Amino acid sequence: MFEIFQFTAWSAISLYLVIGATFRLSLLGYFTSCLSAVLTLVSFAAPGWDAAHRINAFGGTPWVALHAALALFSYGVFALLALAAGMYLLQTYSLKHKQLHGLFSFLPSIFELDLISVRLLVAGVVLMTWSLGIGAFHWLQDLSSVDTPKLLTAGVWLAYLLALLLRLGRKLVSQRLAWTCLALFAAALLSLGPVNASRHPVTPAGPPSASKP
Amino acid sequence: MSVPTLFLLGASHQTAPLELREKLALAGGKLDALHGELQSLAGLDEFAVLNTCNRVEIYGVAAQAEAVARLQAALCALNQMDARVFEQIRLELHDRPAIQHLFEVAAGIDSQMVGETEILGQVKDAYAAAQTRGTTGPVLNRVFQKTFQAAKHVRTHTAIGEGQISVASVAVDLALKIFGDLRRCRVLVLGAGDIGEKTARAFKSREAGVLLDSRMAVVSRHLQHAEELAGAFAARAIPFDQVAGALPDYDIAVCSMAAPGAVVTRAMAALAMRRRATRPLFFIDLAMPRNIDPGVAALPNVFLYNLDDLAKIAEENLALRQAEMDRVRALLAGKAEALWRQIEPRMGGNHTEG
Repeated sequence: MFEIFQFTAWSAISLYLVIGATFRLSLLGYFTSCLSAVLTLVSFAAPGWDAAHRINAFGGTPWVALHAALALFSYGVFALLALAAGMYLLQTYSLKHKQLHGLFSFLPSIFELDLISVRLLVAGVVLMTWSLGIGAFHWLQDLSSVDTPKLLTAGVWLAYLLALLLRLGRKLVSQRLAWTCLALFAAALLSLGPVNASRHPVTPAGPPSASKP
Repeated sequence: MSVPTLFLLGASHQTAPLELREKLALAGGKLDALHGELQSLAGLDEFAVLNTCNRVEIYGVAAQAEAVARLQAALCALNQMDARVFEQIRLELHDRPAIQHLFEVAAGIDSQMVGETEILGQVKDAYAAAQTRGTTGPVLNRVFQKTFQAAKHVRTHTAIGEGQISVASVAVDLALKIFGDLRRCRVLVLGAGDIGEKTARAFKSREAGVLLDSRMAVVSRHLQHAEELAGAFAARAIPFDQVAGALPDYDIAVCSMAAPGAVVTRAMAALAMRRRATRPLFFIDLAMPRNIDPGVAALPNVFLYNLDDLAKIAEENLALRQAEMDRVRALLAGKAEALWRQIEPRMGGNHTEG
């Protein structure tokens, strides 16, 4: 879990460096830093998360490693999407309730935030599709390896894909889209627990050296 | 023997009512006439005239104190104003306070609309005109250059210019918060009244819809009125009974019609949003009684601001600017003091502030 949270945090920061420069969104940088700090702190704070398990953190073969890396990078994209969605909701609240000073005055426009959200949603879904495509190729060779956590990940992908299709079909827009993106990111983060547990099954307590590679 | 003095002589909205400012205004050929007269005034070494709708101020360097009195007489004679009347509205400052006043004028804190930026351009124009006529010298050149630096400094480092303080500009600012770039936004003006026209003009000045074929449209109960206003904005006129059909094609609707009830109902707005679900719709209701059903505001992606809302934001922005005035004044006082310490030795002698 330590690696997963660290990877997601740094993916979000890397993506911000591209998106922030393109759209000139300095406030998104502030929120990205906050989110990355929280993810990093959680990964450090949870006891045992940074215990070394094995050398290939993302799987035994290069393909599985690529699958995992792409999946986590897509989680970084979804993290930024959640931040953009949060900013959208804040800006909408500010304009609807006529509260325009303080932090609200630095928020980007509603239209820009919506545009960024859609692009991030497309990017995240494409990355996750590649990741699951590579994973599926591996799993098809060993169907018994398909377990509930993997299905959970596929469920997250399906939910994001559905959100994207509804947005492109103009069925899921504005605040509803923003709330959906926030809820889906929360679900995606929660799904990481079971996925990680399936990679590192809990073993009976033993001497500390037992968990070392 | 007289000591040279840096002075300001004139009147502004702070000292004179509108009727007297009108009389004092250097309109038409008066400004040229004054320049001609001052250039031959004995004892006046340098001068520049700042002439705006709210002030007539002459900044100068006089070798003799009597030159200021002669200048005042010339100004009164030119405007056919009784010297005793001018005495009542006169603003006369010397040396450091004169510099500080110019700093405050250029920074916009002496303006009626605190923090407005137009005045800095007017001060620059006054200086450029004086330079062209060759009426400035080493002292005024330095004072004006430092004035521009000081004005720029306070605009950058304080909140004196933040937020819009007119209803039309506040509406444009809000549209920017919703759409970001107005160049791809279409504006629908409902009503050919004065306030609607002003707001439409504010949108046009911010290049609303310039990247689109049909950027603006005007609706009025009388098509002829709509066509007249549309002509002024290179817009198209739409008959009143076609408002509902046109609404989905526009991003911003400015309403100022004299109508007894709602011109835009919630049902109309909801129908429009069905056709433009992904693009926000911004309603600006400037009419009294209101033209837009308040229930419209509850629709997703629809934003509604009425006259009170806009006026309240403008007042809040003005209050923020006014709260900055003491800080700006203190900042400018420090800069004026520093400049005066550099200039005073060149003026020759010790000066007392007057």
